[in-house]
Amino acid sequence: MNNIFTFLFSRTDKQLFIFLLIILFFSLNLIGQAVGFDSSFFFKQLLFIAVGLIIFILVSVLNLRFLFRYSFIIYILSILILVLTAFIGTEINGSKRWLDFGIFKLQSSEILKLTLPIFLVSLIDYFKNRSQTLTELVFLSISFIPFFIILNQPDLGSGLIILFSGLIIIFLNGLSVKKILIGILGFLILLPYAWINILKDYQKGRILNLIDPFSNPLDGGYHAIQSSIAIGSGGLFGKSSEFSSQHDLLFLPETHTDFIFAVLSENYGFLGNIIFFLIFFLFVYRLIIISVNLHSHSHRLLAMTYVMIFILCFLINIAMVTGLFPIVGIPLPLISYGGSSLFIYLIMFALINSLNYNKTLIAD
Amino acid sequence: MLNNRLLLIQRSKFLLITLSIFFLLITIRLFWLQIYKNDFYLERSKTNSERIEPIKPLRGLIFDRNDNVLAENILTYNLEVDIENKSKEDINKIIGELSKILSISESEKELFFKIRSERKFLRKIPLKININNEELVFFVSKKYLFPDVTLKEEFLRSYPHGIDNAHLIGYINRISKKDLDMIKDDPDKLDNYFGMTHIGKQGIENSYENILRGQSGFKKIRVNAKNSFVAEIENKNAVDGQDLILSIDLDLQRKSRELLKNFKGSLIMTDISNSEVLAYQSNPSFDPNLFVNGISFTEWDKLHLDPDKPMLDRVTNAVYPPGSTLKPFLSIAGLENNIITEDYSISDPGFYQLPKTKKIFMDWKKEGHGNVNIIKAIAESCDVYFYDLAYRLGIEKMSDGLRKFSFGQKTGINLPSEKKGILPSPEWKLKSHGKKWNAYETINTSIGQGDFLSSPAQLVHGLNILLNNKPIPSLSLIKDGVPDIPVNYENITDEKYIEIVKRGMQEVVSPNGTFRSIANNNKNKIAGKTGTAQVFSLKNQAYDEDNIADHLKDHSLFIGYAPYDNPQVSIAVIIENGGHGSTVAAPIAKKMLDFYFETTK
Repeated sequence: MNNIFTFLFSRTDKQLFIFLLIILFFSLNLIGQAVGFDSSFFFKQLLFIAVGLIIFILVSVLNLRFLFRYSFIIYILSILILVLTAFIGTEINGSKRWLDFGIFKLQSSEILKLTLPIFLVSLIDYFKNRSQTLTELVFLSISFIPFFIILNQPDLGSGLIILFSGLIIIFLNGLSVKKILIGILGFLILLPYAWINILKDYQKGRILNLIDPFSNPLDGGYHAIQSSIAIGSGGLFGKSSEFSSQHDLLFLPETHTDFIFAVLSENYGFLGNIIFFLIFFLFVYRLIIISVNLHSHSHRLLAMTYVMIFILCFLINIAMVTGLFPIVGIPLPLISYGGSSLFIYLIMFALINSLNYNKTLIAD
Repeated sequence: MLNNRLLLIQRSKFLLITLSIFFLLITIRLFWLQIYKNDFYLERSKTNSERIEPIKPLRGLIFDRNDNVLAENILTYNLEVDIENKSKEDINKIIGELSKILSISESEKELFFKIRSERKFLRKIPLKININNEELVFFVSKKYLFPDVTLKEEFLRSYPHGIDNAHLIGYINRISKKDLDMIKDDPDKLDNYFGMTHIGKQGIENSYENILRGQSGFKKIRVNAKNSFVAEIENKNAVDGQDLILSIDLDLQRKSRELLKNFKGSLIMTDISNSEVLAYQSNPSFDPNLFVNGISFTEWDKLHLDPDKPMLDRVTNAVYPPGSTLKPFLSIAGLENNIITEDYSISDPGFYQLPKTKKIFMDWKKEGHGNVNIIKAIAESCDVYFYDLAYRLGIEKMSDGLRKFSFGQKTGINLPSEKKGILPSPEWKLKSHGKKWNAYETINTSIGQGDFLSSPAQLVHGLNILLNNKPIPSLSLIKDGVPDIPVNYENITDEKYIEIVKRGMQEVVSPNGTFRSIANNNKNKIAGKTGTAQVFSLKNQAYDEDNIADHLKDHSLFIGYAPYDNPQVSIAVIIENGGHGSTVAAPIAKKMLDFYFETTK
């Protein structure tokens, strides 16, 4: 028994694992504060974390060679899951994003966050001797397929994240500055078209609410206002007990999922936020150090893409909660309540961890 | 390979720097929200969850002097509709559904929408007031169908003997926009009216508003986003209004209404020793209960377009020529100024010629009263005697003398919009008409005609001053509200003059007096003075009582007191267009006084 643990832990980066545990502890604490430590949500999250950590450790010991070998099949399977969701998915608030597995609902787009980069990275070697432009166009096409499917769920936020993971790989793989500028120009030209034809009214409303949340206080602006009140009332050290919190009184709904950061801000104040950010920095720093020191280009690329997506989602969520960004349904990575997102991120970090361990094997 | 790695690191650095800028922005935003705007958001979070709920005080009850309730609060159940964020269509739909299970009248709907448009800040508006038990049970069983309709326990003001006391007690009504503006201007009042829906509009309900209303309290509670109660933060209890015990006697109110039933007129009866009002009646009357929750337009029109003016308080808010009831007061002025004495007499040929003119003033008795002294002049209401007195006294001294008896001034009775009437004088005429005084007007004034106007309340108050021979306090509506008339008040005139006038008033009910019809039926020793006031001055035309339109007929007046050897109660009665004082007003006063002595002994 002891030997199994030694075996397992010998394959994990100690620093990374410790920071990860601290962050997960934060998550549990905040969810407990948001919904109550005796709530079923709290126990479910406890279960998710436990299962997630087991997955983390199991994935960490995987030899990833097969992953790259079957990456195409994995990609196709992921797309099939997306398509399946469109047919038999559970509809919540007018969008079909989830596959119901009884005890837990899988947000199918989350899988692509994991599998799309694997597929793209596995193609790097294949396209090694082809023209750079062709590679980039193929990568772009592969990324757009899941993007459009997710867009139709509809889930603009997750779709964009998936698209971004593809774009980040292309960028990190050395997209020329000229092409970047062309890309940005093309985006700007397409923006009005997207505004008119792609964005739904409620999505436009959310963007407009960002400019002036008080213009529509009871509808779209409600979350933005209540979230600002929760954060703002936290002050430097957090709200003292003489004031009841926003989430206790249900003024800010969904606090355990997308708006968990507001709970942190309200209960621990500006100082709490800074400490939380510091732990996050240390964790990310460790991830970056591991990533850039991997031995193969495609491994580095994969690891770095995961890290970037992690940071990006982290920032988008906080920007959204603090009212700097429209409300898109992106949870706070590792912190928000929910299994799908947690498992996907833990698998990502496990893969990075595994690549890191296998690097030493390769070196041997 | 190495190339790839350096490129990746370079690109990653670029992305990380971009994301760091993003991070910095978020940190600045957090600083702004949490540190710079902390106070603002803390306050917002408080107001978010704090609600102040008013606690209404119970309005004070009103009793008569024998503890009969004249105004009370009865527990009722009202249906209120929550109109927040609802369009008129939404509300109509709710009302439509509701009317399937209980009856909702058009006037109730009308009133509901009227309140909705007037009181924009109200969240819940009463739709059906005072639902009966059957409806209550029915609604409760179907309540789940109406999430926006709530049952509210409320105390409803009720006037059990409404019509008998309508003008005296008045009524409360929903606070109007006008009241609201008045309340808003006064921060103290604004506090007192917090959460209040009604205000005293008329009568005692209006003039004793500050005592009856009490002070509203509040409950500061914490609610959650669903507006459900979470905790209590602060609680300030309401202070209930004080009860009023009136000097009024309900039995006398009922009796007086019965007596006035067929007339337009009013009656006021007081305790001479302390100025307490015992009966206060004006007819026609109305039901004050109609007003409590807002009167419908139809009912309002009915009351206000009625030519008989049932809403008019004819005791204090209407003034009439006092007619001959003025004569006792004028006598005092004559005696004081030595114009007349007890022994002074004149010969009355039935008319009076104004000296130095050809103007002739008729006595009411064409053939004259013969030799007349002061006693006879009062008893028989000899006009010529007072024409002569007035002429020799002069208008200045006359109005000075009458002013002592509160003519031309408010009595100070605590009721809204008391009229002060008119005590004519040269200054008054110059001021109001811009004209000089004419000598003949002095003659008219002497018999309470011309411009002279006084209210029944003034007449009875004047009579009380005369009988007490003291400048007594104003009429009081509260039992034991004022102490007995202080002994240290100086007499207003020589007691012997008072005695002479009282003897004259006693003679009014003698076989020769104007009210001789009760000469042999006066066990309660009533004395007084009749009056007949012209409404219409006839020129060269004989007054024919049977052939004149009702509204041009003379007003019939009587002031009196009893018993004459030890005056206890005084009374003033006026019957509009009633004809002679002796035939209509005086008998009513007599019945009233008899009833008083019958029931209080």
